[in-house]
Amino acid sequence: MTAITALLGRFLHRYAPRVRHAVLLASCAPSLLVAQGVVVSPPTLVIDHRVRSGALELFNPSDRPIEVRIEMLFGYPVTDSSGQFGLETPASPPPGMRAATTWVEAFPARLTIPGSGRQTVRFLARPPATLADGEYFSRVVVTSKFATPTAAGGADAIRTELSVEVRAVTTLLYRKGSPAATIRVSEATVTQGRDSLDVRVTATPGGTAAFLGTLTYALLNEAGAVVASHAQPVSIYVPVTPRVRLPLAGVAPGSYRLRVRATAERGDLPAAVILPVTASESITPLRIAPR
Amino acid sequence: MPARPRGHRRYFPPVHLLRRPSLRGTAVAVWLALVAVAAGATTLAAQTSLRINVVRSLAFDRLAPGMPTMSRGTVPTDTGVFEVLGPPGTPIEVWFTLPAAFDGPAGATLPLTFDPSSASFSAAQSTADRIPFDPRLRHQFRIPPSGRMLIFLAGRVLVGSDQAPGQYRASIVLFANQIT
Repeated sequence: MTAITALLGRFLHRYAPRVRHAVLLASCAPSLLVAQGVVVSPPTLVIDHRVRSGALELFNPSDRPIEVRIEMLFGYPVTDSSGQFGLETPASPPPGMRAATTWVEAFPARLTIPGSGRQTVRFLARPPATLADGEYFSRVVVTSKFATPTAAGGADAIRTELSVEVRAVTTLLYRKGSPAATIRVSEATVTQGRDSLDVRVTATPGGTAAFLGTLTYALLNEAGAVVASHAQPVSIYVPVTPRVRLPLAGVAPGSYRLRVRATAERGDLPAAVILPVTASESITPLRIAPR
Repeated sequence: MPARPRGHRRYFPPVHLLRRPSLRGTAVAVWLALVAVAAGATTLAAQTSLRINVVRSLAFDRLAPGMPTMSRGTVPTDTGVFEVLGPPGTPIEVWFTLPAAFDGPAGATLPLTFDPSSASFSAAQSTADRIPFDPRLRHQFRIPPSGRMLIFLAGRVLVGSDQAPGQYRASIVLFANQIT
């Protein structure tokens, strides 16, 4: 062991700069990409009413310039009849929806980011003077356009050129005063399949902000131990009825309880984005039939 | 302690000359940590928010009048590949706006079709575990633990027997929404 450590030490001491450079080069390599999309950060932009402005930073990791367009879009997640989440994008906000789309602008809205370059896009809010306290939202669509090479061929050939636009949709939240969110989870509707439970609950938001958090599904046996579980990150602006499948591998037939809990925790979002919410949960007794 | 010779620029002794084993171990650990940080920096930067790369664009080569041509997943060089990077576990929604045809010279068109199995995705970044989906519909995914997934897209071009030669252009739009 000592000999290996000494050998490794000699190697690293002698070749450390080369190793560092090699690792950096390897990790930054474009790996034969036709085009690299811009990196948008932060993934969710929060603007405070007292400041009325915010910024997104765009980074072009490629060595070629990228044309970028910024647009505002009204949309919010909904569930369809199968319980899948999707972005609903009505042409105009339904009554009662706290939309910020029409009074937030991006500057610049069109730009070209040089290779390995960064560019800050500022968002300026001009809310109505009578804006009530609460959280308002919009989607920000960052469009990167890439031209792809034309297929080779002679003058009498059919040559095709297919350009690709990538539109990354992020979220802008505008908060005035002290917005507060609430969440209520209904009892679950459970259908047993051959190897899983099909679970649906209705989660209803309340208050003056969207609920950003996680729905945690846990199947408890009679002793209260969790025998199957699933965590689903969610953003709830309107009542939704998501569907999840809980695998039943290793779960014996018998009496159980299904606990569905909504908590204001999201591993993929910065803590500052998440508003504190009192957790809500529902318990549904059920029986697992022999399979 | 011997005097440091003029021009000596070494700030610490080589690891193998360190006398105490604990110091050796610490030095090796520091070097390994540096290498790990260097390797992870780019990945980390890429994973703080959603990012889409075009690994390979859809390509229709070697077209000639009267030659019905297919681009299927079984012809890798003709399949478009998109790489989605993001924080593991992030729910995302992906959908396409697909053209019905290429626009060519003097108003000529080149029909382009997609069917329910024209797209597929892989969470394990391989071609072996591809799960097909209909690119004409919206789909929800969860970014896998690796922080990277691949989306494959193929289409079919139908070339008329009297198809005019020349340049044909079309555009594909890929939407990726981090559900928040």
